[in-house]
Amino acid sequence: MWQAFVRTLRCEGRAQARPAALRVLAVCLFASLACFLLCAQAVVHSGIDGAQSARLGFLDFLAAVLAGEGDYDPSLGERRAVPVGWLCVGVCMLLVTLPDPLHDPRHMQPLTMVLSGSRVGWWLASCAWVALCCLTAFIGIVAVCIAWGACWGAAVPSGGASAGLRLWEKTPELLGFDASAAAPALSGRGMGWRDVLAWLSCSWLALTSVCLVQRALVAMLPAPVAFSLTLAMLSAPLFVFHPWLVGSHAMLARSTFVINNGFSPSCALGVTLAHVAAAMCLGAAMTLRRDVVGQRR
Amino acid sequence: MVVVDEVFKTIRSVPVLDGVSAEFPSGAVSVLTGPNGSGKTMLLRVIAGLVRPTSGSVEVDGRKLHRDAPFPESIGILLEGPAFIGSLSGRDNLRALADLREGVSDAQIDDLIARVGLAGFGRRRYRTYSLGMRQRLGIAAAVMGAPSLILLDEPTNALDDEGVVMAKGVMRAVCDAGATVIVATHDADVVQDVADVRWRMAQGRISHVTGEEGRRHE
Ligand SMILES: Nc1ncnc2c1ncn2[C@@H]1O[C@H](COP(=O)(O)OP(=O)(O)O)[C@@H](O)[C@H]1O
Ligand SMILES: [Mg+2]
Repeated sequence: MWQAFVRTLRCEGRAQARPAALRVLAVCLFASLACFLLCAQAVVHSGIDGAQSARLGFLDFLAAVLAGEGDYDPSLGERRAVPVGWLCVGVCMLLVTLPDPLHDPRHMQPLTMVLSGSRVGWWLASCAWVALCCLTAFIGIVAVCIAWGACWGAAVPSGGASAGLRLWEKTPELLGFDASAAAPALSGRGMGWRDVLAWLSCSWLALTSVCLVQRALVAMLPAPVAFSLTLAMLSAPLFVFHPWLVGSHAMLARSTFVINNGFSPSCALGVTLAHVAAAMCLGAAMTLRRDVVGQRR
Repeated sequence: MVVVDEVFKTIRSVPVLDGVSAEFPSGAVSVLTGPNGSGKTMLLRVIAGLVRPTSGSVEVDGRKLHRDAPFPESIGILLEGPAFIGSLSGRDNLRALADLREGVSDAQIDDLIARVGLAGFGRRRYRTYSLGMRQRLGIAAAVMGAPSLILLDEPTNALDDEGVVMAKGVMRAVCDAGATVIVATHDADVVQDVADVRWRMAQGRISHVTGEEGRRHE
């Protein structure tokens, strides 16, 4: 089984590296666009109230891409800012991992599965490839944010302090989540490098788990249906505030570091790992049980 | 050597294979003929381990499928036409598939490409291949690495005359090297020229074609 796993992953790397890299590049472009919009808005603001714009930090750039939306309460009658940047990145992540001819039952699955020699090894390689693509895309996003921060001249934090990691009080307007809610939580605990790393890891895991769910669904359903279902799952937290909705854990605006009633990293870890396990078991069961009969495109 | 023993396969309560028992010897080309929908492709899928029989068993070189191993250990397949990655060249497609098994060198892949008549096209994107060129690459993938069991479903589909000669030559060569070759085909030419053993399928059942009709024409 492990031999099948290693061989399939090797085959995947050789066959898919280039198209996957192009799709990752598209994700980075979207992230870059979100950062650009943040800068543009900050410039507009600085035209209104002078020095404020200089206070954009690295975290602001991460938030521009990965903030999502805080706890939106329609009864307050606030204008809703749909987190377009976050949604775009989510959709891109799903699209990065969606096409995989080697594991597509309607494409090369029969050939690669038979040659690999093990159904379980073949399936695990598919999951590992999804995780690897997600990791690459996520690292790309973070790198883009850091690069934009550096170009903007965001302050570099010294001695583990959270100096460069604070959120600018004006950003909520730009990012689509509530300033007054974010500020106390941040000023109370601060958000050091470790907190950011913890949150980023959970965020990557959350996105990976959604992509794995999509991969498991592709084993049973046509790709567009699988994509739509997973997209609904990813964006469900925009409508309901609940820790079990895995998309929440990919939103900085719902982290305990940013809002008082936010979700902790341990909660995020639990929920995302549960999703990862469920997706992998479901996919493994389908792969082991199902007959591979031709359903050619 | 492949031994199929009393294999039944029912899909949505329709019997697709209805008690198939057959032997396919090594070092010979066994040809399956029969009308469309008679179960040839399904039988090949069962032998490949892709489809689990409802009952009955398949033994490949002494190992029972699904008991000793999920798939035949050394196998090459071309089932229901070729499927490759459009954005890669034919050669890179084969290279990637070669990663799934040990011991296929770049030189061997180049040889293979020339042997199926794709010399000069190996580095072109698969997307740009014509139907017949795709079929040729499919044949190349099936025989790559000299597997001991080779399953070919309609291998001469879309091939030109020269392609059919090539396909017959390749089948002959791999079986002379000791492989078990099972071919489902309608091509009378293939049946005539390369069949060592003939089986006919009809409505999920199989029968051995013997006598003058079944003997190989030398
Ligand atoms: N995926 C499938 N689902 C249900 N029935 C199928 C499927 N694939 C094939 N069949 C049925 O199995 C029978 C044999 O098909 P097949 O083996 O493809 O025939 P052929 O001899 O032409 O290759 C046909 O009646 C076909 O309708
Ligand atoms: Mg057929």
